[in-house]
Amino acid sequence: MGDSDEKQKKDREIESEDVDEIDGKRMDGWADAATVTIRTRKFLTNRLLQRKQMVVDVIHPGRATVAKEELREKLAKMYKANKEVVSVFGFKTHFGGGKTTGFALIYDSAESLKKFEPKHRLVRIGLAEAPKGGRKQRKEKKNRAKKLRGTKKAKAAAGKK
Amino acid sequence: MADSPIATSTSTENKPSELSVILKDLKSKVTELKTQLKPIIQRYHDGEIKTSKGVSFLEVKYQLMVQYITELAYYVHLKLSGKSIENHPVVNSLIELRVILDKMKPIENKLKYQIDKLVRTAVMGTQKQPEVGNQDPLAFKPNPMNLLARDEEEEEEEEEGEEEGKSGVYRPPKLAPVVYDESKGRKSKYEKDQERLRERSSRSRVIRDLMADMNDAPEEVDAMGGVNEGMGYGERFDEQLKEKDDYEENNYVRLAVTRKEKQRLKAKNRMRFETEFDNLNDFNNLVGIQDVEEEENERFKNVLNRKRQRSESGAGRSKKRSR
Repeated sequence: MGDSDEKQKKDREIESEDVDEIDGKRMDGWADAATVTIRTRKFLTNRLLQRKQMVVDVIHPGRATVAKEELREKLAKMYKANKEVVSVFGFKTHFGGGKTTGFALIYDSAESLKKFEPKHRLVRIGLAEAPKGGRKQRKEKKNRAKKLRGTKKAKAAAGKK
Repeated sequence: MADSPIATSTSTENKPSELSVILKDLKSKVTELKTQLKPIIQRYHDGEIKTSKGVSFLEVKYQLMVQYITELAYYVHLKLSGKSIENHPVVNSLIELRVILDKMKPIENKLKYQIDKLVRTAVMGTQKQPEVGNQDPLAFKPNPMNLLARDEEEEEEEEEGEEEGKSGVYRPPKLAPVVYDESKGRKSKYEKDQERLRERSSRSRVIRDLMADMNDAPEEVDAMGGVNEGMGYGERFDEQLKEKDDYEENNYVRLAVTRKEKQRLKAKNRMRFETEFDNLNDFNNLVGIQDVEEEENERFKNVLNRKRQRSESGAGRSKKRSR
């Protein structure tokens, strides 16, 4: 299990004119001035799907939930892998804030990622495109393809495009 | 009546003679032990017995127990001879040994299976035991082949049973033997109720906290709980939430919030942290404990009553009561 701490330094000091007070709360622009700690649990090497899977605990006091992209980078650094082969999902913040739990899969290679990862997650990372057309259109297309067999399906699909 | 004083005097006479007999026995045994130990110590000094590879766990246990017994004997001797034991090193060393022996217990529990198996094979080693279901005496891993063999045996015996049923003789099927408990019999309703109450009380928060306190195992507590905290409070919801958390983590999915949970959240409760007032129904579970305590205190109550009566009657008779 690895820990990675990151301290982001404040890049400006408080001066009384800079600080706005709205409803008694301070609105100063240091959204990232807090440490983010990542811990992984229940680590498992899944040889059948060519990946390592784990439960990720992110501790981020005083900060909103950490973005998935940032988490992908941090996990890639922790496990000495490429950012492309890391896939994270299912992040839920605990009641009261400060802690988030989610899942992460680190594939052996980009090919295994493309092969085993479900479509919607590939779309999120940007490695696949979501099917266009509304739900209705997609279903109608499928029903039309049901009447054909074999290469005629591919021809029909190409023809439509 | 005249006999009884004589009888008592003879019994008191017998006691010191018994004691002296036991003491003589002890003396002879101690001298015997000395004569036996001397050659072993000599051998150790000569370097015949090697201790370079460390001492095995069981040996350590024996040595500790022997030392404990000798120190106990010395302690008893001190007390008998009327010397004070305060700040005597014997007490410290007794406590130390006790602590070490207690710590060895859980390790021994873990080794129990291996030790039992070895002892069994050592005892029955010479007898030619037919290998029941591929039982290798030196293998300590769980053996799934054992289960297979039993199934086959059962099938064979079922067939045999059928055949012999046809021939007219009934042979009962040879299944795994179970202990026959005569004392259980038909449990009275009262006993069943008591047991049920006791089980319920063991599940209450107070008792569980007590058990956790006294347990040796390390306690794992997650300060912020799982992802689903705040959805419900009280015993039942805690268990459900724990189950949900486990399922989510093991199967790498996130479950949707069910209609019931949504309704509960929407109702006045909202999402909030549990307070102590939510668990005030805990006393409901402790009903069983009350009865147990009453039972145990009954004996003491009677003793107190008897003592009080005796003292009152004595005081009334002999002394004047001052007001």
